[in-house]
Amino acid sequence: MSSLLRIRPTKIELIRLKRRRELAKKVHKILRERLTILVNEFLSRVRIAYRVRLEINSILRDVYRDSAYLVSLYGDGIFDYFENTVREESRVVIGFENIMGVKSYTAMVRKGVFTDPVIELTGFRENSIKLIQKLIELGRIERSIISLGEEIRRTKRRVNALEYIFIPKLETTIRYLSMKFEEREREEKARLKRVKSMLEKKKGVA
Amino acid sequence: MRRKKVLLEMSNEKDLFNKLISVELRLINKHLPYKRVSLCDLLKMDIPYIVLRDGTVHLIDKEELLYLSKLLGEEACKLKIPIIIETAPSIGEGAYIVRDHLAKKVIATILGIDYILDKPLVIYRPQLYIIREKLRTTTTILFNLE
Repeated sequence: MSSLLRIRPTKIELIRLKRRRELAKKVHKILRERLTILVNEFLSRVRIAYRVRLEINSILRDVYRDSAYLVSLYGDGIFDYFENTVREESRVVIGFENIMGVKSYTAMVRKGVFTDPVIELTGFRENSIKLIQKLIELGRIERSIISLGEEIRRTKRRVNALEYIFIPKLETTIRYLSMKFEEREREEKARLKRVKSMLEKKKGVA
Repeated sequence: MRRKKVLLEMSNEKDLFNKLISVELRLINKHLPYKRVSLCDLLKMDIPYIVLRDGTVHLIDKEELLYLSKLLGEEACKLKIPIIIETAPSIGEGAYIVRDHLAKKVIATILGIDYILDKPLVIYRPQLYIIREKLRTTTTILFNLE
């Protein structure tokens, strides 16, 4: 690829190119800023996802322990009973969140209403709801990590295109055009001098 | 024939560049809200949300809203959500400003810093990260072209 833009060598084009370079630099700066923020959002979400995973592991341990205890105490039927005492089911609301222009899925858990005549069941139910909430939170975070990752890749490409292709190309073309105009000016001056000396010579002869 | 081809190439190159720049400029602030909503109105909603300039619906975490209302107390209803944090290229790279009075109060309280009533609050990148971690859905960043 040529390092020069193919344009007509006129002064108007040079002015346009200079304006375009300024704009390109501004856009590059903004995109770089956006990229930095997106990368940080990405890293912060990775850290949160790791923390949530650890929490899920610990809650899972509690839920397994409680369920084993309940089964040993009341038998397998306890889980049917568990289902029957739900008055209003928990709901998950799924929507979108926009992180700096990156669209990602988000979800919220709306806790249901329960009646627990068996005391042991209360702890088990609370833990299982907590587990569901954490699982959904983890899903949301991991989904946003994927979306952010894709956007980071795209933005990086644009930043690099501006930084390594467009702006250098504009600068080289501007430099080339300026040199060309300077040279043209010098040529013009030399020509004028020559004409002047020729005219003087002619005057001297006459 | 050759001249035509060269002219076509010229226009293609220009178009590509103009397209890239114009698309970027058009999309850079599309994540801003179409209209900001007060904290109380959002708290009244069953599922709090705001509509963005690109037409998408942005869900807001209720826990964050409750946290903000607890922070501001009686003034909570005056706070407009989302809190807008602007980039400030005039100050330098990595500097951000907050203009809204109540938003300044919230951010200064979270960061444990002082602020002047008449002047915008200037925060820096590490502080922005703290804010974004705490107020994930209730803050947004405006990319300033100036």
